[in-house]
Amino acid sequence: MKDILRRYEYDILKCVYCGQCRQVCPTFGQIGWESSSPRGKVKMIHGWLKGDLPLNDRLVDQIYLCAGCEHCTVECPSKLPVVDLIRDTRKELVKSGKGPLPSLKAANDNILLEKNVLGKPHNERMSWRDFEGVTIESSGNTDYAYFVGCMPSYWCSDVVASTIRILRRAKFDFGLIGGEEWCCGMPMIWSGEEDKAKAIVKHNVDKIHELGAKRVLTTCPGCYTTLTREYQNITGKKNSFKVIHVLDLLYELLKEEKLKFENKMDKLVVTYHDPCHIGRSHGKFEQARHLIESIPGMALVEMKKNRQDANCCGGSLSTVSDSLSLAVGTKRIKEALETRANLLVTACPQCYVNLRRSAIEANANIDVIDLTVLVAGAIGL
Amino acid sequence: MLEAEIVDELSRMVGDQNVSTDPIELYLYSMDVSVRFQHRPDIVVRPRSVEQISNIVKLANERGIPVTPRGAGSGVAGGAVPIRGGILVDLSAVNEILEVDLPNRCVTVQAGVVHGDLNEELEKHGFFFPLDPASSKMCTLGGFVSIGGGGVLTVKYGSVREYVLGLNVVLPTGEIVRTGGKTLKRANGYNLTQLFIGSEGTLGIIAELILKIVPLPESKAVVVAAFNELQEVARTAIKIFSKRIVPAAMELLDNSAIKAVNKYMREKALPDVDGILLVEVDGSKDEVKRQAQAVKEICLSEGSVQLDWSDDPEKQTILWKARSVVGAATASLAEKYSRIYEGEDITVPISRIVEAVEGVRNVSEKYGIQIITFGHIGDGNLHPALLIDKNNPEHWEILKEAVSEIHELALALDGTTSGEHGMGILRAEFMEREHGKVALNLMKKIKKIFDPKGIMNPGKLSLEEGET
Repeated sequence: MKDILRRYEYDILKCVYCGQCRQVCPTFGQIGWESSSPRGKVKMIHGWLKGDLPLNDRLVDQIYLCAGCEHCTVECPSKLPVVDLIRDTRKELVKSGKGPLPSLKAANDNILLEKNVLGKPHNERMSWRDFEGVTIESSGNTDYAYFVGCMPSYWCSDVVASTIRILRRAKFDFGLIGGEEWCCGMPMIWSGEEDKAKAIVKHNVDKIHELGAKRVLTTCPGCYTTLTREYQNITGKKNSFKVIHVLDLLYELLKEEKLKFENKMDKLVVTYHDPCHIGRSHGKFEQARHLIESIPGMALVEMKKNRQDANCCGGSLSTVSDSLSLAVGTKRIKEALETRANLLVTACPQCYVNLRRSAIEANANIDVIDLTVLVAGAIGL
Repeated sequence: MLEAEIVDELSRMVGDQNVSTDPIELYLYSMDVSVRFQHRPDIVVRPRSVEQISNIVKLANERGIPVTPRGAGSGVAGGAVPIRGGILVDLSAVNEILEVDLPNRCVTVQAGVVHGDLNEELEKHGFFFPLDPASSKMCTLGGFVSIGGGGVLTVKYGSVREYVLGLNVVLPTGEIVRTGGKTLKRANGYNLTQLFIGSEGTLGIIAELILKIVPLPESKAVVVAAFNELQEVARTAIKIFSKRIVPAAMELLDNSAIKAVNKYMREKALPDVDGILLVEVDGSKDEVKRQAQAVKEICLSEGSVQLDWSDDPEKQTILWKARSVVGAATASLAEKYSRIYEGEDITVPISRIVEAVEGVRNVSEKYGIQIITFGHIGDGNLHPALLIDKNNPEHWEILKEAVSEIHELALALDGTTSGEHGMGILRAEFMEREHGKVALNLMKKIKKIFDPKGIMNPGKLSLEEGET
């Protein structure tokens, strides 16, 4: 406990409690109690570490009610690493037996048992193979490995199918870890059970090595962030592979004219939701916009809150509080509706799933799709 | 600790989910930006309507329980710190924009509406609430009016006192009083609206506000001029006014702020001069063009060694950047040093601004404390940022003396210890020096009439009997 206080104390002391973080925090926006705000969490952690506050249920709940969207970190005038502090505090909560919350523990147990966070049977991980035109055979050049991820594997197979079809059309060869792929481990790492993630991470790294891949392609920003940032910390070794998000790959393929948008999308007005873990976390804001604007007949309109300032979709909160996650998603849908777009595009399976269900919940007249599905449609697949 | 029956009663009034006695919440509502003052309330209540606020206050008055109103808790003078415990009323959930009335050029809002959210809504109609505090993104309008706030645009548009047409206030007895209305003028006796502005929640809780709004200007231009001597900056500011130009904003970065910004924003270094003047003019396109040209000529004739300007909105944002990041820059200057909001709001007549800046520099030198100075030169308001290691008790002692000297400096220059942040607890000791004994005694009597039991935001503004 003292370690974390030592590491963050001067950061914490720089928090002047101005409250600029409150306005952008998806959790505070719905709950409204100071403990749900980023500044509240910072002071609460400090209070606990100093011994001024008890480690009670409210404190534990609020430490887990953070989407990790990093909006507060960007907004903070003192540039406090709020999300890092919260994540390290979760590790302390696990050590003290107070974390993770039961729903997160169940999700982590799912990973241990079925190798996916959703608790679906592991042997159904490749059900996306059933999509028409999707083949998994590789020509043998497995320089690239496509790391599919849990959410695309089970809940939005259209993302996987579209990605594979696009790559086939571009004559871009790649390999798959396939049935041997396990969850990337992000839920364990973010909930403070990093130790449990070690075996998962080792397994995935071994499989990538066995395939001989030098690059790993992801369609999920969560997997992208985990493979990029966390794997090296956990294994203690520099990754022997480079991680590529599908956004960058599609952007490059278009630039090299390996993709041609042949289908004109008449009078389609599109708005783009920046996923937190590919936008704010990695600064990838323009690739998706360039792809969308390159599609003939498509008009891109921006939501008021975009790029660095984009509001979170709330997807990552669903395991902790489904109603909160839905409320945050519904708010984002309302922002999309203000643009009068008829299509909301994102580049993250978790955003896709949460925004899609939020649109249904809000009875909103807007379709939600993943960028890969849009691109596949535009090249006539 | 409150009796259980009072907690139950409050829960019945606003619902269980809007009441908390959890130690975590009590701790987090014990503070605002002023770090020196912290005190936990006995209970936090989050009402959703004016009626609920009224019921809470009525109960508190009956039982003699202190009540502290709080907006976003972004104040810097301890005004929302419940220094005597009791009930903390968090008004951030009473946050509806009730009416945008364009024909009458006003809006009716609830106290918890965030300043920036109002302007986001008004922008759709081509209007704005023309005050621009640095806390726009988070401060609530109720809190902003309660402290008598200002901002960057005060030089042209005035302070909040000129924009409040009417109020709905929950009095300490729980009664609701309506003051003013939608008309731009009224010659009908005592102006209670003005009495509540700046009263910092000591006379009641502002629950709803009628605010004057103005059309967004057609065009803007920004001129940024660097000067080798601080006196040249002040002379230029005064000359701009004497040429019958009233800029929308007129800001100053002194050398300490320039150095801080250059350390923070390495990609675009500001000239290492004694002072930088930033002037924004707004209005019709022709008027802006004329004014910007005149400002440029004055700056050059007064000795500006480097000048940049633009009437392009994107470039204006870049020109404003140095000023807008100065707060963040101070926080990042040194790893173990944090900014303390004390002595941070002195305001002097513009003709004495150089004496004020130099006085602050002397304090910095005398006490060996790092002070970054910037502010609204157009209305004489400086925001010195004092940096200390919060873990070092000696630094706190030195800070206290340095702050006291900065406040004395403002008073000696015929100024005030606070231009726009309020007195709260932090500057309460200066109330008599600011107003004189007679005026303060009058205020105490007014307070007694409104709040005979002394329940409303006690411990603020030195209003309690026997303090003078």
